[in-house]
Amino acid sequence: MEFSQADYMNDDSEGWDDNSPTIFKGFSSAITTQRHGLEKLADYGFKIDAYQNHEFPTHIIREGDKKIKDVVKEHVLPFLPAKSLMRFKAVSKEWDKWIACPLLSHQQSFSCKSFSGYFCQDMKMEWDTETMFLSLDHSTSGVPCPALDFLPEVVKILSSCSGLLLCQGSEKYYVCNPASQDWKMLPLPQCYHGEEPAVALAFEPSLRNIEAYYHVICAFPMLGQPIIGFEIYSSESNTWSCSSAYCTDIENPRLVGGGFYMNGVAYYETKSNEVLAFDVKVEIPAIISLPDQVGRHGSLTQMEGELCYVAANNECGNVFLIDIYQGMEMILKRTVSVTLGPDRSFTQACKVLPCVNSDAVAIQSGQYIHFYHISEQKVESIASSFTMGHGKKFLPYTNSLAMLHELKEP
Amino acid sequence: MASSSKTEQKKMLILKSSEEEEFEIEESIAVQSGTIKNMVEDDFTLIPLPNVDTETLIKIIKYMKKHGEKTKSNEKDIEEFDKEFVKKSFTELKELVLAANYLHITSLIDLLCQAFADRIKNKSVKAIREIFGIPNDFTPEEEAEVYEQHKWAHEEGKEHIDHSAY
Repeated sequence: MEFSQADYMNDDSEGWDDNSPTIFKGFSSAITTQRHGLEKLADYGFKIDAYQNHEFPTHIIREGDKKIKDVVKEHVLPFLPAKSLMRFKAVSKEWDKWIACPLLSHQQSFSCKSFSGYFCQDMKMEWDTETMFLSLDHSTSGVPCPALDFLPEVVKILSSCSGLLLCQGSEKYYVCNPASQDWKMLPLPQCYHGEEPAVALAFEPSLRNIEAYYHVICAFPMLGQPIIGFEIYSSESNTWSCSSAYCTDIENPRLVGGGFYMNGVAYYETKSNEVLAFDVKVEIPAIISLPDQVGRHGSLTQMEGELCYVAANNECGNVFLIDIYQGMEMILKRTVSVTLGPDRSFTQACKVLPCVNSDAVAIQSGQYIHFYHISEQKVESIASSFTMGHGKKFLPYTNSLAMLHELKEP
Repeated sequence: MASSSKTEQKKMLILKSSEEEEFEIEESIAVQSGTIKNMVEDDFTLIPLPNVDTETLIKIIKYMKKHGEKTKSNEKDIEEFDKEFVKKSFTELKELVLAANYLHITSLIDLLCQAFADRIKNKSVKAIREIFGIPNDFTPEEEAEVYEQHKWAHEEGKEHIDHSAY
């Protein structure tokens, strides 16, 4: 194709329509605005050659034609929590189809990381575990069946990670996504994990890898000895394997049930002031000592991507004093005094709850759970259906559509 | 004409909006846009952007300039800038996200889309159709079926109590 001087100089740049390639508009302006002397003209001259030898990238033209609804469908939907997404299936047939697509679920599991609320269980009666979902915002985050009735038996929820839950029935472990109601029963482990197993679910959605595998890591005391062993399940191989690593430094190996995983490390609380940490990749255990002076109502949590221990105390009225300890050394990073909830004359017992992917400190007090956002210094509160007391588990949850992948049979 | 060995002459580009207004910008900053980067590699120095109006282009240049000077120490500063940047009307955001998509500025696309998501996540189906101009192509029966299948997603649930001016 030859560009003669005549073609572009006669081009009417006013009346261009969407179908003509961008090339012509650019061309006429390049030649008419001769400004900075010979060098610039030479630039334009060189550009004419460029036009002749290379095609104007068509994918750039196509992007320019995109309408807002296409850009929203492609780029905004993955940031929405599962409940909002499921609601928006009713927007149009195209959205209905796209939202059901595994590719979108995969993108959403990676992009939507915000903290959505708590799965909580009242463990007071063995045969009657009441399971609920306390949502931070009911119009955007939720699950079809918080009681997890889609599972084949009644379960206790032990750990949560990136939208997946690890549960246990009378014997078997289950991993499920309560938003999609997808679930899988795990094979039985080789070792005995104890009555209340200290297990952590590890799952990190990967943008590039649509098949992101999850792990379940159990820390269990060797019977009769102050040694902790570890057994790891991988969804990639669908098998359990015992780690060769052991932890012998633990003073009081009485592990509390459950566990949580963050940045490659699984953490298990004990009945004393120690926390057992296990680096999953290199299989190395470590002990973290929690600050001595804190009471038993603090919690390990994640803040700004780091491991923290938060303790809170209701000083007087509705004033709370919050201490935040950070990192493996548990150094006191910050102390804040904040008013939470309605004013009152009496103090109340309070409990710190864990959080993920949030800069907030969560404190349960009375009938509410208060979230104090550190950076914005704002408080958000939700009603807590449970009254204060022991035996109630709160597991932080992210409303993601993460899919459970398993090894396909050859 | 000879430049001293101490100062590097920064290569400048000219970006031109759909309204033919021109803006000079350092090449090192402008290549945050994948589209502009491609064109620079093809030796363009005047970059026509017929899909981006002047007002939107000014905002985009502001964003690129701020993010172009990112260092380890001013992370909080940039975070604050980003927070303020998305406090715009839906109309402005729509123009910005279309332009950011066209210009292929990944960080800006993510920032704007997260902001969009936060603003639309609690809206009704009807509101979404209106905001983005999406026609309803369901028949009444089909629409009722989609609602029924995901009934839980259309339920409001309990209101949460907010003690602060959030």
